[in-house]
Amino acid sequence: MKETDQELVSRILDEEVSEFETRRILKKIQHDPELYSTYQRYNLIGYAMRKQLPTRLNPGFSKEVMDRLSAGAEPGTDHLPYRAANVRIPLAMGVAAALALFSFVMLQDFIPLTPSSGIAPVEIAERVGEDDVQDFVSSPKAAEDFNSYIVNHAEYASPRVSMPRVRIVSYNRPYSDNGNQ
Amino acid sequence: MMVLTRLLLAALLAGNVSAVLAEDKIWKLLNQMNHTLETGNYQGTFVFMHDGKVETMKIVHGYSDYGVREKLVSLTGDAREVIRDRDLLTCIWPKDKLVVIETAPSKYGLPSFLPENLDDLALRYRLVEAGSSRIAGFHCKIVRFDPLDAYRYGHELCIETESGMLLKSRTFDAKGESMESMMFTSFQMLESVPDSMFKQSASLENYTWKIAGVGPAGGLQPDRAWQLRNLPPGFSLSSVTRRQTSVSKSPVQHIVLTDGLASVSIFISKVEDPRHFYEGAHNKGVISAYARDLNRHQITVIGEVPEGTVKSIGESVFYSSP
Repeated sequence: MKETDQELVSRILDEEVSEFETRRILKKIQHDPELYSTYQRYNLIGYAMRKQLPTRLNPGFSKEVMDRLSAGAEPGTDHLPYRAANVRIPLAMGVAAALALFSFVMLQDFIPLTPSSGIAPVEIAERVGEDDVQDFVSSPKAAEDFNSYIVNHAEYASPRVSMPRVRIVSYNRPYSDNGNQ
Repeated sequence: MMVLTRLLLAALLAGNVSAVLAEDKIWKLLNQMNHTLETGNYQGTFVFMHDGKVETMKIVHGYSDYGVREKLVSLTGDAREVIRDRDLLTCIWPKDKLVVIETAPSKYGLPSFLPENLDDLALRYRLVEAGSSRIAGFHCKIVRFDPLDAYRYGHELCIETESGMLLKSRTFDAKGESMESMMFTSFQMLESVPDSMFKQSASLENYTWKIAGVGPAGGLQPDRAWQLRNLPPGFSLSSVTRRQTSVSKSPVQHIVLTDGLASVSIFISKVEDPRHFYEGAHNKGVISAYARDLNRHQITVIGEVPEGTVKSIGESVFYSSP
């Protein structure tokens, strides 16, 4: 992978790149695993530093982030370009800061744009009890139905608040035979 | 004393008027957002977060005399794609070498995100104008819907004031904890979108195709014997349809409920083989699901609401024999 592509990836995340270059590099990302990995890593670092990671993280997520950060900080292999996205500070400081912030956000909510809404808690009369929660999509038939129903729900029922088709791409076929989970 | 009373009354009225005007401004912005999301020409890259996962996606959206077209591609993992071409939705799953085609409702007019009855919505959510932010290089205004009970989630939106584009959204629970969020990292409004941008990226050779059956015009007649009782507060019937889907041999009845913002789908399908029944609850990000069997039919409830709400709705379904 050329150094210039790495730089471009970081500049895309900084919104400093022309539309033509953005299109070109995003197209390239789809066919270049290394470049894609760089893009993901910068995204992740940027998010960690902006404290915008959700609380519901996978158990191995912390390790994954640290591994990715470490991968970018191998001695003598400064993969992070000078103009890295949101990490233009020296690499060592950036990694340390990201790790510190990441440890912080592991205990925090995804930082909202506004202060806590102060919602009055109201108990649901009939909550789903722990005993009731049986993950029905472990059944192949249920999984297939569920995948289709998410598509249908998004198209026929979902509000426009968050572009429902995004959930189709992200959630659908989570239980396929290929373990596309 | 009378003067003081009049002054107080005037101040109260002025306060109310400014509050009404502020709310009116927010609704106009939300309407503009709906209009742009559906009828705008735009492309962008955004990050989508749920269940501890961070995914990057690209969206291209176009609107012309031809109708609405949209392409969403996952830049994370295998290049999953969803392409909407007017009333057809094509989902491409490269890992499974699978193409699923479903029909989509032909909504070419203004989207119906905003409820007609704002007074009812105010009983369930508190609308808050919560400052401004800068996303993907654009200034945007933050609007928040705080849920007033635990039957629904809250929504926080950051809307670019000039174009009305939704640049960031966050769904949170009654404790204010994030369930799901989306944020653009780059975004651009376009004059028009060339056809080539809506073509699928992958070659679909050797793919398996699943196509939803297309019923008669206007769909099939719903079975009116399926009814609901004791719904959670604020939820009411939005629509009832019956149609073929890509996975069912027999038609599926689809009942949609809404509280003005959140929506819940009830899918009812006849099951010939009892071994295929499933039941229980499931949660994935902001989506909750609940399933049970009733009268040799599978009831599946799916919605962007807490688990307790889908269960209550699932239990509210009954069959009233004619």
